[in-house]
Order: sequence, then C-alpha cells, then structure tokens
Amino acid sequence: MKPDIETIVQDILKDTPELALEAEAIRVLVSELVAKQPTVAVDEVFRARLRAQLVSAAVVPQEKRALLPWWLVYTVPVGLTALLLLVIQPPYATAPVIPTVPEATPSTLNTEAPEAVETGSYDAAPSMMRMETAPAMKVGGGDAMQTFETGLAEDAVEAVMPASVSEYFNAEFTPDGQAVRITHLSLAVPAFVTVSGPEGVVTVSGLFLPGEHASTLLPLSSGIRSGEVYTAVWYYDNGDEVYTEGFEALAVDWTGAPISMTFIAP
Amino acid sequence: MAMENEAVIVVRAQAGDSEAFGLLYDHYLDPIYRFIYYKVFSREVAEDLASDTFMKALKRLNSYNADRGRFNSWLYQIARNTVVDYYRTKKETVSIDDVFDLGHDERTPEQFDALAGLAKVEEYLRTLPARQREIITLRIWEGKSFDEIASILGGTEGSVKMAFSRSIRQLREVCGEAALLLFLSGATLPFAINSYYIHI
Repeated sequence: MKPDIETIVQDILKDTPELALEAEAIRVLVSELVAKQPTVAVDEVFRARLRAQLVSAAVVPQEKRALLPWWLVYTVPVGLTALLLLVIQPPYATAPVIPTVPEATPSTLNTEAPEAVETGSYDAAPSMMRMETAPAMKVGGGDAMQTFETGLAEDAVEAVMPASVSEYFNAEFTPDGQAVRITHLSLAVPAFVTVSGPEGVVTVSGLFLPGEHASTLLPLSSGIRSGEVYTAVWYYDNGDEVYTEGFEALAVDWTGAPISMTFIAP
Repeated sequence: MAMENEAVIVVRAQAGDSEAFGLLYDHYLDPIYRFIYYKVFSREVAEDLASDTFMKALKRLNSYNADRGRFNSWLYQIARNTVVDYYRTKKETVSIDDVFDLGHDERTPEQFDALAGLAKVEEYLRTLPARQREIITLRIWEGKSFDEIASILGGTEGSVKMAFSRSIRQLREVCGEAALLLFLSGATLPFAINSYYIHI
C-alpha cells in the first residue's frame, strides 16, 4: 500500500529535523512526486501468455527434482568410498587414494571431503557463507554472458551482499590491454578471480586472502578482442589454495546469481 | 497477499505446486514490471526482462530461503540483476548503480518530443546519485517500506532512511526558490510536467 503524503513528509522531518522550516515546500515536492507517478500498465495478452508459460514450466522441474540427478547416482558412492578409504587408511600407507577422486567426479568434488576443509578454513567468518546449490558460471569457452545461465548446478558459496557489487569489487583492463586491474576487492574468505571473454578464460588470479586488496594487476594469459565484453567472477578457494577450473566454489548472491563485474576490452 | 499466506504459497510453489507459483506471479507481475520499466522505458524490453525475471525465479525457487529475507526482496533482486545483465549484453560498461542512467537508447522519437519539456526535470533528478533516485522510486511510487527498500538495494533501514531524506533535501535545494514561488503562485513544481517519461 502506498504511504500517504503526510506519512512520507513526517518521515522526512523526523529524520531531517532541519527541514522543519521548509515543511510546506517539502510537502508540495512529495505531493508532486506522488501525483506524477508514471502510469505503466501490463499488456493483458502478455500477462496471460507469460502466466501460462510459467505454470507449465513449473511442473517440469518438480518432476525432475523427484529423482536423483544422474551424476549424483554415480558420484556419491565414489565419494563415500574415497572417504572410507581415507578414514581406514593406516598412517604409513602411501598409496595415492585422493587424486583418483577428482578425476572421476569433477563436478562433485566439493560435496564430500573438501567441504570439511572449507568449514575449517572459513571459521573466521562463518556467517558470510553458506554452501548451497545454485546456477553456476561455466568458465571456459563460449560467450561470457551466455555462460551465466548454462551448466549444471555446481557447489556455490553465497556471499552477503552490500549495496552493490561495485562497492567491494571492481575490475578493468589496463589501457594497453595487457592486463586486468582489480581496482579494489574486499573479501571475507580466500578467493580467486577469473576473467573470461568470448575466447574463454584470459586470466586467473592467485589466491586473494581475506581483507582489502587494491590495484592488483592480473597479466593476461591470452590475447583479448577489442570491444568485446569480458566478465570477472569470484571463486572461493576449496581449501587447497590452488585454482582448478571446475573445482572451486562459485560466489553467488542470495538470488543465486554469480557475483561478477563486466567490462569492455580497450 | 498477506505475509502468512505468501509464506505458505511460496512453500507450496517450492514443493512443485505450479498454481501456487501462478499466484505469486499474479501478485508480483505488476510491481516487478513497473520496477523494470522505470529503468528501461520500453514496453518491449520491460516485457522481455519481466519474463526473464520470473523464469529465473522459477528456476531458482528452491534456493530461496525465507530465513534470509522476504520473498519480494528476493524477487526484486533478481529483477534488478536481470536489468543489469540486459545492459551488459548491450556491451555497455555498467555498474549496477548506474543502470538508471542508461535508458536513453530505448526512447523513440515520440518520446524525445515528450521529453523536450522534461529537460529541467531530468536535470534536477540527475543531481541525485542513482541509488537515491531508486530509493525515491521505491518509496514514493511503489510504496515500499524503508525496511523493504534496504533488503532490495542492500544496506540498513537507517541508511536508506537517511538517503531518502537527503534526496528530498537535495531536490528541495536544487528546486530552490523557483519551487517556492511556483507553490505560492498556485502553480506546479518545475518537475511536475508530464512525468510519464521521467527518466528516474
């Protein structure tokens, strides 16, 4: 329900008492703003069509959710077996058990042992993150923007978002186009930044530790195309302090959207 | 839709009740559409982005956690990000804070005519940072509480309140004596022109 003009004016005067002398002018100002709200009507054909699409689409995901995803059917037993081997492995044994797991189950590595590592690593800021399933960004290849909505749900870490991304994360190309400058970055947990464009990933940062970072240069590993859109995204470290594509947790906001910054190549 | 009812409907929708999602859609289409329209000023684009918003909401519905915030705030955030993504695909470098400033390309020649008399309005409103303009829109036009605005835009309720008051004060200062004189003469404020195309 819309607040009445008097309520709005009283709110203003309460928060800004020095405006009391100009109360009448403020009242007129607010009245005009209220009166001149643009009249925007939704087209009824559009309304009905979209509703039908949504209602029919809503049925499909629920049917799918009733079954275990195919990759989970295979990877959970493998992961549990690996965990069991880790537990029963004698301290003197040197057989390389762990490396076989990521090769077999790249999309689910973080669902098992690494999660325990993350929990331990991020104790400093437990309220800042939560593991959950969310749409993930496919890092390699293809149009950088299209990749946001593609790919299987991967492990993603939800970050508490301040007013806007730009308040704690900004990136841009250097004028010569030879590097990306992370102009500022504010982190509560260890993370990597990757930059990708039409040709795939063009640079990956080293590990950023929690805290404030300013003006960090990331040299490009491949050439960029002038005028194309590039996107920088965060991945939280899975605990091994090394960025491995497909193995780090994508940082997302609470709507499930990746935390990212786009910019254009010079 | 009462809050208690909405919570129940959201849970039903998360459990796969498609008609429950339809009810959420019925309730939120108009405000979400307006929210988007004020940023793009194009019916076609607003329809596309509203569609994207609700499709994303449906896709991510199970990731919504009521303990983290209200459903409407969650939905507005998706709409906001959808608008930003729209400008990103247009290959414009954009900070989420600057979305308000990028709608000009969408205007038709007719709209430019209508805008001719609004130059002063825009001049006034552009004196405010984009976030403050967004707060004014959500508070005065959409009737959102400061608490709701804070959860949509980020920040605290107190900071949103202060920003709102500051915006009004700035507008008041920008309008200055002209506003008072017009008011005393019974006329309207300088920005009280056909505001259908106000780019706020």
